[in-house]
Amino acid sequence: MSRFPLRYLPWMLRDLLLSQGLVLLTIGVLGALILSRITPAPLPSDAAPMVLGAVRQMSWPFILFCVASIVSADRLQGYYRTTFVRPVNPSAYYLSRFLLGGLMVGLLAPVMTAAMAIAVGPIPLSWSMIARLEMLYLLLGGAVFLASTLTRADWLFAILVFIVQSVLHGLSQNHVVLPAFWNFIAMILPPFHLTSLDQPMPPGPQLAHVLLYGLGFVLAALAVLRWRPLGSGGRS
Amino acid sequence: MIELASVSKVYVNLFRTRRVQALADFSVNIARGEVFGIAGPNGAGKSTMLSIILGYLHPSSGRATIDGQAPRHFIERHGVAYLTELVAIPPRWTTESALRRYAALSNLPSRHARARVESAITSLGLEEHRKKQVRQLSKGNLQRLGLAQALLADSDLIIFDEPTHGLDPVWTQRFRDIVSELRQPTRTIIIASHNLDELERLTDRVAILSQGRLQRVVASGGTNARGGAYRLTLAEPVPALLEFFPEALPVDGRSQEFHVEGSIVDLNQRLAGLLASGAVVTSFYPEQSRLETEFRAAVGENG
Repeated sequence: MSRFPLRYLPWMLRDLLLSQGLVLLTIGVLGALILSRITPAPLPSDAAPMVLGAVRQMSWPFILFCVASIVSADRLQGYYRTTFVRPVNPSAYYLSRFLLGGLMVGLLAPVMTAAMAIAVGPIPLSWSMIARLEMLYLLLGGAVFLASTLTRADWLFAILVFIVQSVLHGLSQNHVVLPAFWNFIAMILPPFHLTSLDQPMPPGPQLAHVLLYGLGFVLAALAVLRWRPLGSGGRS
Repeated sequence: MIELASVSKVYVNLFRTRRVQALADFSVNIARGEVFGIAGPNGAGKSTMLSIILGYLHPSSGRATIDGQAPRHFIERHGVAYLTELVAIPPRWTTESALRRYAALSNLPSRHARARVESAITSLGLEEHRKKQVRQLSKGNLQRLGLAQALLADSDLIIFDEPTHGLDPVWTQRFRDIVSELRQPTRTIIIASHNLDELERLTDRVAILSQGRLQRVVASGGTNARGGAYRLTLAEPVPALLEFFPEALPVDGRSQEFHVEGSIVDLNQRLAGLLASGAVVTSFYPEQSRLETEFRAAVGENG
């Protein structure tokens, strides 16, 4: 018997396409409509910066939409009780769901590129943008995934961590001397500043920092799922 | 097959200022081929016990195993059939898609899955509801869907938590038939229920829980074989009654209905004598089942 939900993957993908996928399609169609029908000014011939701007605006909310409450909703609603009496490992199940969420996030760049292309003509798809989106997904989505195994307020937790990290990073960039405690916090918080879509792919060590941090979140989430029972009470 | 050894479960809040002992030093062995009942008042620990058997909770102390393995270890390899007390299925799924999804999760090959889903829909009378969303189902139909999803795969361990909750009498009887059909020497069935009559009909043994403690395990097969209190009703009063049942007491002052007691053999002999004397008996039934008597003794009248 398989513990990996292979036969269930098409259902997971279907659910994602019918919720996150439809939202993504709607955004793309609306974007194309606005650009081609409503915007009065002539559009620039090089639309790549517009694509980047749109993807950057959408990236955070869409990642949160794809991964928020990934575990906590099942626990809260009690759906896990019927799901995990099957020969399925919860870690494998939620890892599959997390990876498919990453696939959806990767579609953000092609959809926005296609929307712009409808308005201004052919635009080459930026594979580098997709790679940076996936890097952001691994870090931000991984943080939400881990938080979701522990609390219902997973997305809020991720946003709070992001705000604290951004403030501390901004201060250190401006040469503000932080107390040792806050220096330590700045050092251990996830490196969100390295995932900006505006910047080129970070160099090797920084890239490794982001990837290992994101991977650490995902592995920690899987470890929590492995060791922490899904129930919190007799009926819940 | 299932062994709970000195299992205790204590719920504590985040700050550890409040403790609730849900199970205390609970030990029981449930064998293959057995239909095992769990009875107890609300809050007795039935659902906690099932959650521990399913690996959804870890015991605070003691050990729970299925076939010698940790519960999650066993379930992730073999799966179990489980009907939850409160059937929780995403409300936007349709009846049919829910069953197809659970069949896929049960790792049934697609050809078999389709046949099993159709069989479950038919045997639980869900044909006309197959395209309905779960949120559109009545309580009884939702309970039938819960039963259908539990019976998709051939599991060696089946757990029903309040299985007839919300079912009408026809489907309650159908459920009893299903349990009879599911009985196999290699299969263990656990039924947790408030309905003592149901447990008495379906199970071999019943564990009675109260306040998180196992009060007693009662063999429910051969109920009333040892006799007890019975209600005897006559078509019309006859003087011979007191000859055969000198202890007979009229029920609520009625002249044809009596409370009698004795062993089952003794009662049969006396009843035969009464009938031979020309009395017409319209009914003779136990006032309380043995399980009910044991339950009341274990948990008190408030149970």
